[in-house]
Amino acid sequence: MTAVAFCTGCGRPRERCAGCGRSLDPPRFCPTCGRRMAVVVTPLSWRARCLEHGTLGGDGEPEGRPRAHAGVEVSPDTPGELD
Amino acid sequence: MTEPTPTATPVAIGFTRDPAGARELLARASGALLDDRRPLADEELAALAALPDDQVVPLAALAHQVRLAWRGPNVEVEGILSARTGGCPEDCHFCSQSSRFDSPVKATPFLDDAEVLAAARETAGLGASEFCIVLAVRGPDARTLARLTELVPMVRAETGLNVAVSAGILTDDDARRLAEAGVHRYNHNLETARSFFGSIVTTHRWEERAETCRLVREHQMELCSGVLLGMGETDAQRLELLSQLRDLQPDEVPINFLNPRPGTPLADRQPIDAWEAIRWIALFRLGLPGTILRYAGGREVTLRDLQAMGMTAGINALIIGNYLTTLGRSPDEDLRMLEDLRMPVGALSAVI
Ligand code: SF4
Ligand SMILES: [Zn+2]
Ligand SMILES: [Zn+2]
Repeated sequence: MTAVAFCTGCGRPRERCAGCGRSLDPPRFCPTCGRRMAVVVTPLSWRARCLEHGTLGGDGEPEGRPRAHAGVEVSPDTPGELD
Repeated sequence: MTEPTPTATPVAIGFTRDPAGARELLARASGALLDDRRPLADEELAALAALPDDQVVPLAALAHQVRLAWRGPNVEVEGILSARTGGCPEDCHFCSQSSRFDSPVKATPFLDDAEVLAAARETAGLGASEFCIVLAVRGPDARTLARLTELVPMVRAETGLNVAVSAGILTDDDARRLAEAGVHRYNHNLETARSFFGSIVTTHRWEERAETCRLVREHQMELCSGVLLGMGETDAQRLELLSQLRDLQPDEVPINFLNPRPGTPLADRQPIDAWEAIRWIALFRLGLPGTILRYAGGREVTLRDLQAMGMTAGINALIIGNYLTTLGRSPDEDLRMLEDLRMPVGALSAVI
């Protein structure tokens, strides 16, 4: 588990987020560094990639469903997927 | 009715002072649509739109009867994929994919074939019959068009799904090439009434949208042209939009409800009231009795527990699973809802 330092909804440091609580949004900002992530949303899942910290979510994985603001695991980067 | 109301405080419903008059209005609409099989006139729709809140249930019941009589009980299920996200040069004020707003949505390039095919397979696995490839562009450039004309037959061959495309404003030649590639339906939303469009989009005109819709029909693709309710338009403008759609005669009309997106000019609007949404679903069915009326984005946040009610107020199609940049509720919930409503999943074709 990587510490969730930044809000994945607004990219602010966790303690400065007033509450983005949107359950039907994929994470948009990296929980580790707060950078905007490249997000792919498909009918059944989503995948979000930080240039530095790799990819969250993934194909068919139930965690790829609404959990945008839960603690998230960061898996090793899959190169060459997105810009 | 049109002003968005904070969802935390229950809104008292309005009662009719003339129940007999309301019943008569509904009976006349029922006679026209169910007995005479004639579409309603704009004035008749305006009178129905003015019925008080306590008439929404009878209005929805009539819309449901009309849907069953004109289109039967089947529900068409579709999956959609944003194959090229964000970075759009247009400025549609509701959209998180415009490059003009400071939105959390990061631009990503066209997904590769394998990713598009995987998403189409997910869609087919849910029992859907339609898969729509959506691109955030003003219109397709030469490279995009070439990709699309390769992808569409590939997805069709691999999955057996009908393939729809949404890629913005088309030229006559674009439309011809997409039709030749086997695009089943082309999506191009009117979004809102002509008289309100300029308050929502400044980078292209309503007329350009209507023109693309006409080209789609001319090249014999099915036309899917949707609306987005809750951007601050008046009831009169919703009726105007309905009338403009009736002129275009789309095979399908997706109904989106504004889900305010951070960073966009409409970020601070409230979603419309659920009861109001049911009223307008019913009115759209009464105005477009033969169309495929699809639940699209924003239904979860707008209707919440009333989602099944929309299915008995005129809706006969839905987008399953996730949307373009936001997530939907679980497909299992939608499929169970349809089962409980005894509405079989099946493709719906254009009305001849
Ligand atoms: S044209 Fe489409 S993608 Fe571009 S800003 Fe408008 S709605 Fe968004
Ligand atoms: Zn936040
Ligand atoms: Zn990061």
